[in-house]
Amino acid sequence: MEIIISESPQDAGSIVADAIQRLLTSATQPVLGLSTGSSPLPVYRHLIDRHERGLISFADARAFLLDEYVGLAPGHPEAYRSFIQREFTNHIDLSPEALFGPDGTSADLQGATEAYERLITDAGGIDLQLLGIGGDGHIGFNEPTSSLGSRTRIKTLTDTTRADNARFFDDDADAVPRHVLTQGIGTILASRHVMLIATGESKAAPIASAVEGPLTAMVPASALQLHPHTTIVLDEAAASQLTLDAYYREAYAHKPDWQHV
Amino acid sequence: MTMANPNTSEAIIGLDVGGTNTNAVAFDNQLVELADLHVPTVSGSVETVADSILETIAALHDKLDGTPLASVGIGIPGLVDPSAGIVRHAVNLGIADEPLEIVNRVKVEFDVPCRIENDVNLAALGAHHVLSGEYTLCDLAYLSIGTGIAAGVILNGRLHRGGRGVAGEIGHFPLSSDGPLCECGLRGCLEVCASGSAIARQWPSTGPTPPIESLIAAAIAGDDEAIETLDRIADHLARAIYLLAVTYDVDRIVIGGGVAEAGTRLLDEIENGVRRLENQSDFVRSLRLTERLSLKPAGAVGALGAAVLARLGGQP
Repeated sequence: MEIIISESPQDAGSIVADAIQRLLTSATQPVLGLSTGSSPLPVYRHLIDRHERGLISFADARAFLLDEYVGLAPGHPEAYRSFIQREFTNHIDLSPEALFGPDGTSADLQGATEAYERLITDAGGIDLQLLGIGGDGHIGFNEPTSSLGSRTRIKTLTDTTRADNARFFDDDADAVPRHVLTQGIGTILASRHVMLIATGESKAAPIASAVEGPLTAMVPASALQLHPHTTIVLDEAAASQLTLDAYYREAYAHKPDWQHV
Repeated sequence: MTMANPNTSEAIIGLDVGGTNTNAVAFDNQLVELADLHVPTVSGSVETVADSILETIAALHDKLDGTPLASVGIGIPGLVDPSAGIVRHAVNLGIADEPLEIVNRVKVEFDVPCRIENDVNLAALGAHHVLSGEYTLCDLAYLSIGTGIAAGVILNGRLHRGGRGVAGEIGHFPLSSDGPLCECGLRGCLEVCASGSAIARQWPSTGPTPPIESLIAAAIAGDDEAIETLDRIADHLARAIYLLAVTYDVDRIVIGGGVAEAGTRLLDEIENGVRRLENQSDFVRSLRLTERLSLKPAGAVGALGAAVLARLGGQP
């Protein structure tokens, strides 16, 4: 994996946006994997800005969400689909019909998860999957001990997680859905390029475990060590517990021009 | 007791508009088939073809108990411009220079997104949906042997149109310079040697049996002329397979189109043709062509591919 340590969350977002820009301008029918949460927001802001400046178009692209709550009414403001529309896709030229997420409103959730995997296959697979990381090393809603080979499936939220997320639901933990549908770790590993962005002090420990620790289901993001093309983009704070940081800086500083991220 | 299908909140309709018949299939949002309709295509002009397509969609929609329509996908022969949503030069449908602006017509009539693509490309997309593993993509070429011959190519899981949209148009590749004259102006094109119409010319059949079926039956019965004709056609088709393998090197080559309705007996003959090439060439043998060959999956793969495209949304 490649580790890039940048000066700020803004710079980290710019590096990821560069890779997405390169994909959009080189591939036909490019497929993006999008992630919610606060970490990717700088990426989306850079992309919106570049779109407004006419540098990039998403007209030919398709986008797939990593996860979705079960049982929220379509259009619920806290649905991840609503989040990504509000923060990103409403501000670019991605066709609304080209934005996909697991169908948490389906009466047949098992069928919906299988159909989601087929839909990704029908689109030709995900070219670039954008990820954040949780404090316990989770990616998507794949919490510690999730199978490293898992595919899109239903997961149960713990009471702790529901209490944490209550702030988005008028401080009512009971209003937080009990279940989510999430791409599995196997689904994420099948994408062609994974870019994980993490910024801030709170991400330093999970990043150190995922990058320099052992491969283990206790740290789901450590599964990215098996992926042939993963880029981890950090700010100084998130990189602060890495032991080989001098090496990562040296490698990135002396990267040949032709070798893109 | 019938159980309500939980995924029928909206329906996707896929149409495969052929020169003779139109296959229309409605699917739920997980691409499970809900209903289908098989009707003759009304050809002749831009207006009659458009009306016929709209009527077919409406008639199929009527069979869905009021389920709202989510989107429509249309596969159609001819020179398709997917981003403009139009088709020109669909000779079998009686469409020449004047474009059939079918995407707009569907949008106006049904108020849903509509996508259009060349029919062979959509058959390739439908075959890919069926043949790719649950989680894995496969590279494939769908060789359609019908009135004409063309291939749809899926590379890296995506439809490969090529820079000018002619990827896979191998029907006009000349196999020899002294064969019959093709409409395109060249001699000995694959299409004038081995398409459905070429087979009908070489083995005119009487009655309802398709020429390829009566040709194979006559060859099996020991008719020397039939054996010679069938071997010649199989040799041409084997060269088409070889051409697709050396240009795209796809994992799977799927035989479809009207002639493929002859089934495994046709596939056997094509494989025999491949073996005749292999017997002359270690290189051809090393390509393991027969391992890549299969008949098209059962069912209306063209209409399925149209629904796959419609469900994927977005710009073409």
